[in-house]
Amino acid sequence: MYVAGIDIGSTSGEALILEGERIAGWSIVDTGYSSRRAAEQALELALQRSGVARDQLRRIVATGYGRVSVDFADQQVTEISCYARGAHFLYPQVQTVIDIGGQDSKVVAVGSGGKPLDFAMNDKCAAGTGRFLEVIARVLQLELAEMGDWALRAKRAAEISSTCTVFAESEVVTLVADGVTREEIVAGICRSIARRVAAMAARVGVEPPVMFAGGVARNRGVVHALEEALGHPLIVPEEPQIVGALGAALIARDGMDGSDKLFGPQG
Amino acid sequence: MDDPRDIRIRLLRGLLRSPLGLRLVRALLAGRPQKPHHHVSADFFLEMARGAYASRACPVVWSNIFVPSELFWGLGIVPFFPETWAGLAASMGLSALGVSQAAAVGYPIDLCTVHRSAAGLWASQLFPRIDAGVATSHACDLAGQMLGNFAYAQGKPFFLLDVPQDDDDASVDYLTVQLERLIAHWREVLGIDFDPDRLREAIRLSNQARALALEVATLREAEPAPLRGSGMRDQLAMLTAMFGHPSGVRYYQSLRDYTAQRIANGQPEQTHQRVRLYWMHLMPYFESDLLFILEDELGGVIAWEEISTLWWEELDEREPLRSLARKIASLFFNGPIQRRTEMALRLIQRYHCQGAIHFSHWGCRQSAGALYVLRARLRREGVPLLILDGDCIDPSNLPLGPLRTRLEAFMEMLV
Ligand code: SF4
Repeated sequence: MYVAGIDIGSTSGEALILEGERIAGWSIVDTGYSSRRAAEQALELALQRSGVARDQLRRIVATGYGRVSVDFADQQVTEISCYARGAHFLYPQVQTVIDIGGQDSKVVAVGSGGKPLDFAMNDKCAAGTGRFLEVIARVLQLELAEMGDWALRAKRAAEISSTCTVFAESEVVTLVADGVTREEIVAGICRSIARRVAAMAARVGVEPPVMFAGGVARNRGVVHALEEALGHPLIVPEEPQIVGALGAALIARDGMDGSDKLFGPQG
Repeated sequence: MDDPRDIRIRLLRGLLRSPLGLRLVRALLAGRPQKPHHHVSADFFLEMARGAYASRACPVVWSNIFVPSELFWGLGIVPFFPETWAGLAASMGLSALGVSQAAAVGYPIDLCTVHRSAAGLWASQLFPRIDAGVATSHACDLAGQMLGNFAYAQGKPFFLLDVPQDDDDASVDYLTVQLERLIAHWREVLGIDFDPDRLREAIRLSNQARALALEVATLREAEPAPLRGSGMRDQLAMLTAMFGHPSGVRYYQSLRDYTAQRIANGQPEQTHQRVRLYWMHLMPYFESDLLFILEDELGGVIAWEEISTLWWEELDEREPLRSLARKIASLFFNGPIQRRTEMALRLIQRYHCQGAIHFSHWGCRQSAGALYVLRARLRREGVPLLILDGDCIDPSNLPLGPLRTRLEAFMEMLV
């Protein structure tokens, strides 16, 4: 008996096929201009990789900012609940989940059964998100994927004072002109994101163990800076981007009996 | 090409300044399907508008909302509250005008849009004449500055009531003396007569309205909630303008009867009710989907709103000024934040709320500045708090997508 979870973020969309407790397959696609199309594509790809036919799916739950566009889903649930649920499934001891995605970031305090106890999300700007990294990667002519290694090579981090992405971009141009190395600038950018997210996390209250999920968790520079800013080691799952889709799939599985329970038993 | 808004503004200016125009508005409103208490409040505000814009019978004093209205009605003065009119303009879709004009007259964008919009409406000549200005120093420190500005710019006298943070006897004494001075000041600059009997009558009317408003508060304890919280967004305007005027009594009588009838007939205004909530600070005054999402889609019930809370003790007509001084000082926004948080906890318990939502209106320091303490205190009592950053005046500063996610996630947490 198969179910699917689909997480449509602003930059990427993920789908995951679940059979009981087993992850049968998953996929990641670019969101592009249409959330619905991305959801279809991600689902088809995940089904293909799992060797499962569409009509074998018993239930689909959509999450992420594009969830409302996934009209073929049986239920829509916010990414707050899905991240908490997915993180709890992977590491039942986890008490805090930090997700930094393409255009937003969030911190969720996780209770028993994977139920969110509190949460905070970034406000209306791209500071402290993957978008910030993307913009700076472009200015420095670096591949996004290699930024983490550049940051770790730096002997010190440059001080980036702007939190606004647009202003930070011009600040970086000035630093380059002043001869500051790319390594130092990238380390400074990672630290700037980490500080911003750590401040948001403080609002919720960071209780270890802490999981770091979302696309930016692949960036070792941000992981390092965030560990420093929080004063806690971070658990980064093998596939940090699929935590939301996993949570959605778990909710889909539990909803098969017609109940609308989003979380496991609360102890 | 002319800004299409210009025609609307000119029309509005004309309507406001002509007794005939206001009568026309009143007739139009009377024909619209409205709840009975809304007829009373519409009549009241139109009468106020007539007194301020179209009649010269009484002096007009511009005031912030926390100067007790009993004082105006008891002295034969027509009050004009720029903050309230900014809210009213927002409900009529005029906030963009107010906000853009405020920028034109040099108000920075990080100021509260209530005041910025008021400044813009004034700059667009949509406000009435002014004979004097008055403000209290408490709750909103911007109010004193803005009212002072308005009076100064129009060459009129201004009086600031300095409110101490406590409501003990010494503070009340201090404030009573200032109220006496204020009356002396108004007698001098406005040429009004001070008739103690008239003030006592205003106090009596205020107490009558207060008793009825307390009955409404008790009726609203009912489950399911008889009224929609979103329908109560105008309560601050009522609480701060109607008391001391006969309309206050009529309004609360009508609201009480309406609420009681809803309960008796088993017809709550909101049919889909899942989670009871306590709403803190303001709500958007303009039409927005935010409250529709909360109430109708998600079944969130605003069982009580902070701004509907009647905060003062019964007034004593034998000591009217002392009573009014105590009313001013005991406002829950005044003094240490504990006053506000403890009130929140009492109301959360009284209305059986499972969570609280704080609407952090853009630029309002006095309200959002206390969030850390508020959150920590509520958390200690196991009450989840959702903070929504938005704007109650400017629709362009209320991003529905992110707010929807926060509301949905909060409801998923509570259900
Ligand atoms: S919202 Fe805050 S700053 Fe604005 S008028 Fe009200 S109290 Fe003052």
